[in-house]
Amino acid sequence: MEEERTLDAPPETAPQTDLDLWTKIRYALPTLPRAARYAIAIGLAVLWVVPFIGLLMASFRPLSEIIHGWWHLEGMTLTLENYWAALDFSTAPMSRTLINTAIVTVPSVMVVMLLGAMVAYPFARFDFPLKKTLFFILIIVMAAPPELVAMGNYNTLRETGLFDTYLGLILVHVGWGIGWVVLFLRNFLLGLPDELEEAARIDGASRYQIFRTIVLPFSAPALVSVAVIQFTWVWNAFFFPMVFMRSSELYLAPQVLPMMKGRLQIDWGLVAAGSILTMAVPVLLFIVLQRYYTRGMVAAVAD
Amino acid sequence: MPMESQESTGVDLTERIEGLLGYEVDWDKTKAILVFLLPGLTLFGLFSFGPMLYSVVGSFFAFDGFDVAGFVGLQNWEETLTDPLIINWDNLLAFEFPMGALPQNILWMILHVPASTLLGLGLALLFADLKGKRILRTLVFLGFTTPTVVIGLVLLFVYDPQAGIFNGFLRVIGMEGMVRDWLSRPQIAIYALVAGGVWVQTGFSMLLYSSALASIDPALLESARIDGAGPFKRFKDIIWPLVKPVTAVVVIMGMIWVLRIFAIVYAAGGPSGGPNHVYSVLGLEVFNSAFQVPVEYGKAMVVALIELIIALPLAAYIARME
Repeated sequence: MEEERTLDAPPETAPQTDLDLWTKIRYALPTLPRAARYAIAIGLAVLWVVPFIGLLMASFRPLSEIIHGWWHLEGMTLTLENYWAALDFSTAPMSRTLINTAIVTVPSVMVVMLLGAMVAYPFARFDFPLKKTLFFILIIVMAAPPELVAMGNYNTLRETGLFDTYLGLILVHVGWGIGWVVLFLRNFLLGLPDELEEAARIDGASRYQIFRTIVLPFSAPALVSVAVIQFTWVWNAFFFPMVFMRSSELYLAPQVLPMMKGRLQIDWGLVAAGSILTMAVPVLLFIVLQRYYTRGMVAAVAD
Repeated sequence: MPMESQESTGVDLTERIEGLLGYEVDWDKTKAILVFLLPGLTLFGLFSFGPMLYSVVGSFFAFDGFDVAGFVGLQNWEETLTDPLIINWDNLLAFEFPMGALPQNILWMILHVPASTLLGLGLALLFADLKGKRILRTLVFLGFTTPTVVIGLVLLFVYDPQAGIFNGFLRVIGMEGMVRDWLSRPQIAIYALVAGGVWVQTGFSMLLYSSALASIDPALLESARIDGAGPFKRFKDIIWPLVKPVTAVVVIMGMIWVLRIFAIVYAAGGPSGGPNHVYSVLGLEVFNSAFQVPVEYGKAMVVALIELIIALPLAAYIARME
């Protein structure tokens, strides 16, 4: 349509004038209100992490320096003492509790991904009796607090001998997590065109083959989101381990942190080192897989 | 499928079922649906829905330790709702802490949800068109990926009378008189904790608002600006209609988050939720009733069901959005 323009029509672009160097620089720099916005934004973002900076400082400095304020930097001593103390903590050493946390978290995530995808597939593609009811039950559990299932699960695990075992806690996490995973993956599958599945169906592929070779691979991004969010949730969980893990050699890392407070003077260095060790895994995972985490968080609740 | 029994009786079971239903059943499809659904739904039933029903039913029974001892009707409910740890009517009317876990949990919700929602929207708008917004957002969101038990301990550290930076800050700006152990003062401790909760949840609402803002066409805002629309008018006419649906989600998720608060309070104030339960919440009282001596299973179930009753309208709203 550029060519169709008549000569007397106004030009699309303003005439280019040659700018001197100073003007060019001025245009490239943010204007004063914009610069002020940058300053406020950076200031607020830094303010938001100040408590974590404090935690990091406390974990690397001796208690005698932290006690009067970690922000005093003169004569700062850096030490790994707190980390060794945390890894060697007498009630339950972090070297053990971190491994326990991983032992519970990894299977909880894998199983919930597979079973969640399997349940989500018929929810998104087929009609079956009670579908609406089941769907609403899943939503209720998603909104319900975890305390609600603690008493029943406590009795179930006691009766089956799974109380105070890794497997028991894994089952509780899987049963609890499956609700939101199904809702999330169902929404994702509903947004995925089913022409490919139809074509495979006509070619004689079974529903199981379609699930394995089409649905699962195409859900990969959503499955990664599920994995990251579920991993963070299970790793960070505090209430379920508190209820179901009672032997100190089975304690999970988040569970042990309040015990590090001690009786009289809180040993901030020990608490901080233990906290940093525990939060390092989910925080690093978030930073590396931020895209999936963010997308999942937004999709999980906003769809 | 029980093929042998069908042949021995001479009647085809599948045909009988189809006769009962009045239409033909695609048995292959039915089998596939069951294979997909059963493993997941079995675990869901055993470890989520079943225990939930158990709490609903159990709240009407007396318990001997962890075992059902007999039907008592509404007795657990009456006892729980008159328990000062759940609702302390005298203190509630005088607005003095401890008011009981239920009013405290609701107060937390009333303060926390609007604050974290507005702050999240504010930060999302502030960061929206800045360079390096991803780093800024990551910094603000960091707290939300951190274990909540660590958040509780961090708050304890921040508010510590000597080692805490909050009191250090008060000293620097010359408000020496305000320096105190914020989390052990009965009448102010809960506000200090709520501020900590807002600190964490703002990252979440900012994230949701940011993704909603990303879908706004910058050209639209630019042309509105050229047409002479001020910042307030631009917000009201262009930004707000687009972020409004997200607000509903942010508010609901905020309420669910507050309803589930446990680790922050436990880490900061132990199982009692601060001195004399001054910032105890419902989740903590469930834990205390069910898993601390003396065990009161019925009461624990009632308190957990109070949480569910608060959560049900939220679930209904989510279901309606679908």
